[in-house]
Amino acid sequence: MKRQPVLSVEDLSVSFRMYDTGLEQADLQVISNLTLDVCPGEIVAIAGSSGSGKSLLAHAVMGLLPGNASVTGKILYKGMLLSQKEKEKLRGKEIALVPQSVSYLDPLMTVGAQVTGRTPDEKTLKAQKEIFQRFHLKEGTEKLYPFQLSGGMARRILVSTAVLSNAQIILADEPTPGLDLEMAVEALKIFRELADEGKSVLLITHDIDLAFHIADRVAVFYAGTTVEIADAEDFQKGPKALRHPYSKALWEALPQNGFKPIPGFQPYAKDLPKGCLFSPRCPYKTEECEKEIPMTKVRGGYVRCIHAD
Amino acid sequence: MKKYVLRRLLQLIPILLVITFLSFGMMRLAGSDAVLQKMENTGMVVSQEVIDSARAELGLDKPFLTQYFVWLGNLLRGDMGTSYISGQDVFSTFLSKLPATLLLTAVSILLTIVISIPLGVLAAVKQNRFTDYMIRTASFLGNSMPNFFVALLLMYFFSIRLKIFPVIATGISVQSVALPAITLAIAMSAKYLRQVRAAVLDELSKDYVVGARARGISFYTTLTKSVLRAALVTILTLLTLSIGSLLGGTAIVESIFLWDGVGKLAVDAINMRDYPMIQAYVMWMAIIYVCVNLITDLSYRALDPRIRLGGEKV
Repeated sequence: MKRQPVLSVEDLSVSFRMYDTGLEQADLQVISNLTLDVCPGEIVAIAGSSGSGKSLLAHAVMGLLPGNASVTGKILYKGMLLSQKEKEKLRGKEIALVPQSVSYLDPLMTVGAQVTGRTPDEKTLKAQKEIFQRFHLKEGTEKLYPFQLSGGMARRILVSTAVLSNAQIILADEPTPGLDLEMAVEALKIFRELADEGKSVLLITHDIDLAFHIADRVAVFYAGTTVEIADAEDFQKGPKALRHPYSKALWEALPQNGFKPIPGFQPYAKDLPKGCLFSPRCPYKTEECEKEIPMTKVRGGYVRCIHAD
Repeated sequence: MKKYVLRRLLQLIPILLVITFLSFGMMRLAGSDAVLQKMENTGMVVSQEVIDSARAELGLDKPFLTQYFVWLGNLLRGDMGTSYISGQDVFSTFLSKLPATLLLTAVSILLTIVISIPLGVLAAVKQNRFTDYMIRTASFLGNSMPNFFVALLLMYFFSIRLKIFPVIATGISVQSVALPAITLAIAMSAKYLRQVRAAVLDELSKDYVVGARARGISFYTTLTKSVLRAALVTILTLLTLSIGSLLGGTAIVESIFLWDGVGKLAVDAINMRDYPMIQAYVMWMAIIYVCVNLITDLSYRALDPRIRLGGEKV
């Protein structure tokens, strides 16, 4: 059964206009030809190293990129192409963000007002009490200001805000750091419940283990593009089930799988290689790899590699 | 809270002691004295004996420390002395000049707030756009014109050409206060406008603004409820310093407009080495700064919960 994706990102590229040396301006392409979709009832985890464009994707979908960013490609919500204006209308209502850092909380506002809005109705207040309880946030926490919270408490507030917004899509940008295992699992459990209710969650995370267990599909990012999108099961099975050499390397780099690093480093956005962005580090590199590489379907997953089979 | 205010006010005592002692000492180091100044002004040549007896009459012949303690003793008995020059009571003379200074301070600060905050916020919101450039150019102009020049320009247009306001203050009235207040407000607004712009831009670049946008909160709400409140803490600090210096009088503007405030009084007193008058002025300044700073600190608490609730961690 082919479901209609609630959010699809097609061929998205994001670049920043920056001052280079002196007064010369240069465009820095930080996301290139990224493709991803999320269906209702689904959790898609996004894995990838720092600087692979995970947070930027979330910000691009929310329309939160700064003024010097230019975006090409399409972002569709329920089949409707989103313009900046529509993103502004949808955010906080249909699409919610769990921001990456606790500094996204307003320091001059009580957390209650940030979670429920300034003038909440009875229902929202009840929901807020429930979720605070689930997160072990004591009664009265809503009257505190962010500076009075510990890092973990603030993190739970951020997750609560997105959950209470009743949005169809939650973009969770690393919701778990700073949380102990119990609370991290609780947060992911809440996401799972929301997904089971038919909502969608895009889970950006470095807790790859947890993500593999909770997510339905996993998208692997490298240097600002998706290199592989596959069922979470494949990631639990290991390199044989995976398709892209980078995904395999990522799997093998996990502590329980041998802790094996690969040489080289992710290219900086200023000097991206031609064709396959992973090719400089890839053991299977051929001349063909310097051409444009499309996403292709291999064994039920999508992969951006001509050597995958 | 009450304890805090009381403690701050008690700090005034050592501050006053140190500062009056210092000014007492500095004025004596400056050379000349009230007797010599007075004689010089009349243009008479007088014998040393006359000078000596005049000095003895004012107590200027006594050792420095004795002079200071005599003054301090009188002060504690509520007597600030009489002016060496006019012979009038210092306290009542000083008091008679205060209303003019208070009025000028109030009007010029109000004008400054009304001009600089909206324009500064507007410039920040429209950063690097036409409106911003216009506002910044205006601020640049305002900054580069010295006070006396602005005063003369205003006099030329409003008093001589348009005949709206008097050239010279004719007592404490709305008409008279307008030009000196505008003169001061132009210079201060030009300066504050940039500070307001910078403070607002600084706040706008913070993560929580993005966070609020992500929660679907309108830009206007975030601007007025959070950004401005946070920026106000910075702005308030600057305004406080200005209020302090304005209450101390603005000698140049007061002289140009013949505005009879404490600034002019202080300059005259210093020129004539009128020690008791100078001491009164110095004490007034110390009291102002302590009180204004106290009020500012109290208003921080109202504005920012981090200061109000500081330490009350859970």
